[in-house]
Amino acid sequence: MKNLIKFELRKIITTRLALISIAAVLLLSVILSVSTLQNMYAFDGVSNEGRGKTAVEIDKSIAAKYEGVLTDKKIQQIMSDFKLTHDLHGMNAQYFYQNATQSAAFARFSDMNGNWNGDSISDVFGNEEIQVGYVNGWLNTSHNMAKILFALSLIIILMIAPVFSGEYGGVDNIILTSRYGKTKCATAKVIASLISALLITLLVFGFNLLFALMIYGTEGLNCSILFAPQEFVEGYIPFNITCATVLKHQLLLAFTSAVSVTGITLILSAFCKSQLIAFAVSAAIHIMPIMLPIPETSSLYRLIVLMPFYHSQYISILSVEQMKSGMLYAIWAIPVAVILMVIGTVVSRRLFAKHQVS
Amino acid sequence: MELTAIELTKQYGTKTAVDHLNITLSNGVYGLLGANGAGKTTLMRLLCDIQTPTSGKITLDGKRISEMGEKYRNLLGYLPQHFGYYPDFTPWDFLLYVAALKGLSEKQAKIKAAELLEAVGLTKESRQKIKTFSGGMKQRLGIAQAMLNNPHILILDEPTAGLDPKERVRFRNLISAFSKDRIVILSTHIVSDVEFMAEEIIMMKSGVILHFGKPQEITAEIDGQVWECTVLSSHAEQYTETLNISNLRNTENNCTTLRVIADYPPMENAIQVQPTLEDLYLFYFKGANE
Repeated sequence: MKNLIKFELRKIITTRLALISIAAVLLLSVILSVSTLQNMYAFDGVSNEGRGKTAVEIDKSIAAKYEGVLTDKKIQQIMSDFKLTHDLHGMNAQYFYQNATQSAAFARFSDMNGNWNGDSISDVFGNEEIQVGYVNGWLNTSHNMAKILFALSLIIILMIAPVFSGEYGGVDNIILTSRYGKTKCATAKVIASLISALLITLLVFGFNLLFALMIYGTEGLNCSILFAPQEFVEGYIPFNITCATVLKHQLLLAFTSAVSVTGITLILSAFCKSQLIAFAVSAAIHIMPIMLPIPETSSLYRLIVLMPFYHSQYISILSVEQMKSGMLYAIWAIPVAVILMVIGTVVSRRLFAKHQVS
Repeated sequence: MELTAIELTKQYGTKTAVDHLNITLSNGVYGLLGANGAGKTTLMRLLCDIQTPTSGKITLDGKRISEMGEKYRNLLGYLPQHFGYYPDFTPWDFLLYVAALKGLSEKQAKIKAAELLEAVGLTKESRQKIKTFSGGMKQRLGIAQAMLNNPHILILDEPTAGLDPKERVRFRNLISAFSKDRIVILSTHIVSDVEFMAEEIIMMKSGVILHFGKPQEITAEIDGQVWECTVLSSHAEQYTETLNISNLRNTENNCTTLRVIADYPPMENAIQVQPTLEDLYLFYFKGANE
């Protein structure tokens, strides 16, 4: 069995298309990370201004000044430190950006003119204890990874679509007449597919994480995502969790996405005679949930976000209200992935073993 | 060991590929002859349990092969007519993979793969990628994979297709040495290969068996119907249109010797000759879609 799994792994991972795709997704990771870094801007309100790595350093030093639990006093201080000194010509000051900390404060505690809007910490965040720090880098990394994980899920489909359908071109004759062709071989294919999907997910996630660590360091990992710049205010996760928690959930969801996609693709691979059709149908099924016109307020939405596409697009599933136990709803992605994988295993093995060679 | 097909039928829609076929095969080499569409490949696939019969059954020593599962497949070696391969694999890798599928240990697999690559003359090319191989080399690799597990039942669909004469001789010798106490079934269009190797001939047409027996027994069917006659070479062409000719041979003085299959002497100088399997094949399949 071990031997068969090794051969199946080799067949999945070492094809030219798979290797090019993996290289492409790693390149995409670098491009996204570098372009995000280069687009970063920060001004310390006095004299220091910069882009890229300089902006990160400026933002970090500003965040360090206010680190710890967010208080009304700190808000007043930030509002004062970054008080507007010039006319915005009608622009809403809540959207005015000097640096990450200023933007986080102004987005929630400023009026249109840049003055304090009168809200206190408890008005905005309730009783939540908000840890302040440099979260911008990690939240951007998280955003970029959602894009990369979507590309990754398509690559997993691309790699797994030929697992069974690729054999229907003639090797099925040999496989299905060999001793383990209808039993262990199909199991080895399923195991190898799962291992490949998990390995490539780990590789891509790890690569992005390391890259982010090199750029942003570990600062901000223990800070709340709620006190983030303006761009993370609307449509972002509405819970008081840390950047590290977001990343942990994102990693979990990346794995559940990989497992779910593998389960679905295996079924279609065993069902379709052509690998191209298996790929196209699997990809269409994967993307389909975003085409469904289901509003977030609908109870159906809670089911839709459990589809693998939303696992990789972590914000939607992490934004569903927490369960009574206080756990995030996203935890349901685990049983969904297990169920899809079990169905994928049983159905694909059966379809392959019963396949009539033609 | 007895492999038996009982009332075996396979239909594809309205087309019947194998029609209520009954046959019992015991140890020996069987040559399966028939034109394209005769049902040879379908019969082989049914015997390999990779197609399910529409009706009827196949048994091995009284047990249904479909219920024997791994036990049956462990006894089986199969060379399909068209087999796929993994272009980036070398023959060595491919044989080790098939050996793993057949349940051989890594050590056994390496010994057997080396032995078979030598037997089919691919030792030198064992580390080249299969995608660089010619049709004949791929065919030899296919033969090797079929024999990896020392199968008791070896089914070969067109094994000599693409092989040059030297390779065909090598293949014949390989099969002759291998076939003792085993059931070997091979189909081919090259009648001479069957003549050399097969102890018994199964002649199929339209999904049914026309003849089943030893070559000399079944050629007796057309005893007295094979003739040789000599004509002027310039007239030979017109005879091919009117007579069932199995062979033309140019001789001296602008003459051609025709080998004719006919109930009566086709011309005055015709001499009756001993029928061969090829004559019998042409007797049945003249005009069939080859």
